Amino acid sequence: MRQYLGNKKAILFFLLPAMLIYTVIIIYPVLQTVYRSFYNWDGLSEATFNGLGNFRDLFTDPLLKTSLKNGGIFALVLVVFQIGLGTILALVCADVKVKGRKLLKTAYFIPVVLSVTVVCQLWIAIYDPTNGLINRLLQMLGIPYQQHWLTSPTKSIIAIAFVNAWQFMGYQFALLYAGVKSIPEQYMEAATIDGCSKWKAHWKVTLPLMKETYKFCFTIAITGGISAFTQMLIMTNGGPGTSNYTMTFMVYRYAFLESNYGYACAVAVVLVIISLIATVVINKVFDRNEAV
Amino acid sequence: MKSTWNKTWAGVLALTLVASLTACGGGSSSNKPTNTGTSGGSEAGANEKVKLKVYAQHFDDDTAKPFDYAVEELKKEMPNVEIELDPAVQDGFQKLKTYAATGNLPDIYYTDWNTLQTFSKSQNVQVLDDYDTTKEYKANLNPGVESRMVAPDGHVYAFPDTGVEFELLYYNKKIFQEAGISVPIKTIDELAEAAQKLKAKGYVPLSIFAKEKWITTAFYNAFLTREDGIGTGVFEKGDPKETPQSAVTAAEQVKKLQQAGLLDVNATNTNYDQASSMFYTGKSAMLINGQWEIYSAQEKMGDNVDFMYWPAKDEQTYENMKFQMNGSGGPQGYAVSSKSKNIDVAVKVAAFIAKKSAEYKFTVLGNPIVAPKIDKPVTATDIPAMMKRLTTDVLPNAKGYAVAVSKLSISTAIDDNTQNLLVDGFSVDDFVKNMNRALSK
Amino acid sequence: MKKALGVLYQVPLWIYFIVSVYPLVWMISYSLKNNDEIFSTNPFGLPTHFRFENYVTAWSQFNIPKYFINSIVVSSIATVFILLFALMFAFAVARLTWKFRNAVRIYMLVGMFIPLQVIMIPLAILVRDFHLSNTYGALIVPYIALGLPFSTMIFYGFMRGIPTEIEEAACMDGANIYRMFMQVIMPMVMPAIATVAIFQFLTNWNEFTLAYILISNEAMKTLPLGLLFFQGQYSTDWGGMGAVMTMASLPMIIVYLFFSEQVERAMTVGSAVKG
Repeated sequence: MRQYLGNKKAILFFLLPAMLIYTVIIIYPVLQTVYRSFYNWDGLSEATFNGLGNFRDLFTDPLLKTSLKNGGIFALVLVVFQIGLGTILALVCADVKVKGRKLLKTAYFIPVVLSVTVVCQLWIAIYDPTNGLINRLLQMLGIPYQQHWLTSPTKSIIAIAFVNAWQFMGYQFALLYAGVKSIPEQYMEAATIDGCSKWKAHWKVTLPLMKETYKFCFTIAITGGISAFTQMLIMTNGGPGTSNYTMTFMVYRYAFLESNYGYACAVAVVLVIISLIATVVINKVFDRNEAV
Repeated sequence: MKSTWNKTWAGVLALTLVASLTACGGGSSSNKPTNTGTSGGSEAGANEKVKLKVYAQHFDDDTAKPFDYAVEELKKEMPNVEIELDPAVQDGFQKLKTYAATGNLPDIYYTDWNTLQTFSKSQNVQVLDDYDTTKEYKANLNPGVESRMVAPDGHVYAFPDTGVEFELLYYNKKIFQEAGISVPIKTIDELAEAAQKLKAKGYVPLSIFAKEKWITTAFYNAFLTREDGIGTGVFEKGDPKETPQSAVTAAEQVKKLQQAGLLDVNATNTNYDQASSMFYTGKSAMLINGQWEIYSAQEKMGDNVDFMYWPAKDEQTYENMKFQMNGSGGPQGYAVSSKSKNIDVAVKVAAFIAKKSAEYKFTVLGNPIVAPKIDKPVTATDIPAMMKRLTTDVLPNAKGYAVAVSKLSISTAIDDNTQNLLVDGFSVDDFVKNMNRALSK
Repeated sequence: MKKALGVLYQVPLWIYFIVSVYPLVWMISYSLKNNDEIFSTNPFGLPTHFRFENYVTAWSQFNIPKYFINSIVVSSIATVFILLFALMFAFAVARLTWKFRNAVRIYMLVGMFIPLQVIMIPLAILVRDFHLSNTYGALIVPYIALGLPFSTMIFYGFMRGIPTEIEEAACMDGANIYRMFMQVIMPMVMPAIATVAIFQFLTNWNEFTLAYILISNEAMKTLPLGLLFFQGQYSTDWGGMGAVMTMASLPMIIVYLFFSEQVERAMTVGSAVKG
């Protein structure tokens, strides 16, 4: 069996196409990024070696603190909303007793299909402080919690994270649904026969079996949060000021607005390292839980 | 037979490569053109077809029409030149930089000082200083617009078409009358007071599309130029390590106006279409934008709109500074790639296109904000009153323009923090602290 | 009573249904309004006056059928290769036994985290050096590479979940490893394949940044680039943009509706095999 699965030629055959194209198109530019992160470089002229200078500057850059904090908030909102709601909806839609589940399932995915630009425009209108749906609704309900959703330096990041969470919930939902569906029904039947309620059976049987799916969902939610960018660019342009910055926004700013390419590369390197650490931690956490 | 043929070719190719390499080796010091223009000899190849690629702003009537006119004129003037247009959109010249990085720069491209700085360092732009065409162009500039052509480093990199543009304070006459506000508003205190009156009547006093950061800088610069004519130039003059007093004063003034409710609560998330629509539909009483807004303002509001000069800390300062324009002219225009195969022709064509598109703007649109002097008469018949006022009252009296900030890290810091000033909870102290940090770098 | 309770507990599902479908309705009505209606007079309701001229303008601004075909060609070819390469890679890493497979998996992950903004210029240089500029390849090749990390990760997760007995059985039956991949593993991860296919196709379909930077030739432009035609120097025609976005999204939704049926079927087959 070992020999069967250790067939060197086969391994090479399966790996090669992906490895080749990925290495040339992604890793080669990534290596250049790493290399450039040690230089003072505007992207075009001759670069001058700067050692760890870019990194030293980066760790005292107030934008880094803002970005890390925003990335953390973003990731948290994504995890809670997407995975929480995604799980519940996936379980419900997998339940044959729920009427119209096919329709529901399709509908929940629709926001994913729309372009980010459309969705952001919609939410800009919804968040409008005077004409927006949210403030009007609060007013109608008599709740004195009218907010300047997108112009508040503290609340806007949550408001934007929510838009991303809402739009791509369908993504996580589809993955989780596929996960639930790939669990043989006998397991659930066995559990319910043992006298568990439906939700308890899910908690005890379904979710643990979906460990790999969850690992993946957490990874994309958390790393996606840390590196979020497009929504800020469209909805608030990173502002007011720099209050909505994330690390990717920093990269964009230093590379394109300030022509400080070397420094932008340093930011990118740190971003990749943080994301990798997050991925490793997520993996560790899930694997430890298994041992318990 | 075939293989020897190939070898010969390879040899020739290798030789030309070496030749071109040594030519490059001469470096930037040899920017001097080999043939100095007008003498008959250089025109020997005039009948040869030359194809030039031009990367120019070309996406709406405002940008396309002047360019197309210039190209038509070029056909008459230099029939041997064929223009291939690569239309640019507003992307902060990202695509142009990618062209430079991949060695695909068009022969002629339209760009601004930020890009020109990096292109000059990386020798992607032809230095135009010693061309006769440049000397002619420079001699024919309108007064006050040298800064559009001659860069802060003393070199010429591009032929400008537009003059120095500036931001004005537009107001709705009817609303002002209704609220009992007399014009002109001369001081900051009067403006703050007017804001309160307008607010009480249910209007947004001033709409600003502060989602774009350049307009927040322009708004701030309006008051800074009253204090010191060079405006945000104070952040670079003499390399200060701390925020100059005039800049602090202007920040305090902006803060005061913000707190007086001059701006909409959603200002920093308002785009141009929203801000202008508020002004045109009579929801807001004032609008800040460049002088180019005159056309649509007059079209939408007719006689009901006018502009005023920017208020200052007191009437004395107001009177002294009212013709100090709130606008700065960094170099901008049609530049020539140093990698072009037809540099000499390209330089002439670039200057020609710049001049002719300016001519179109001046004659057909009646727009006086152009870089070169135009000796043709204005053919436009329905020139907006405000435009006439610019031509007769403002431009002849213009005392000076602000100075553009060259260092990108400082200009982005100004953009960020002037936007911040428009938000509750961001104090003048925060502004000073952030600016000091950017300056000390 | 119990039935009523059951219905009650389904109410939130339908509320969320509305929350999910409303943007679609909103987008379509957005595409039939002008700037004033979009921003101040009627941001949320149905258009009072249907401005079909937005579509007419869109149609006259650029060659929609051409852009459309380009989008289809680029997105589908890229998606097919992503699926193929990612499945093969995930199979090697998840099911075959060899020394560095974990390291290789992490290696593949890096690509998911790198911001496009920094690799854009090196990427543009690569595209030029491979003589792909202004061909479909200029987009297809980067799209494949960019799609791999994400897709391999999903496939990896699903393949790890397959019990090892399956391979043992296949081995006993004398199937070689390639046949096992094709006939045993592939059908079992069908739900994942269908899901990834939709994700990747959508991502490629909506991709703007690379398409903008890497494509200058009019004949090669993809649909999202059509949005550029509505950005004026000072003002933007939002309704026109809405029209382009609607024209780009509606076919996707129809494709998705069709595809989700297939996905559902694939999923049932998948779990049947496994059970």
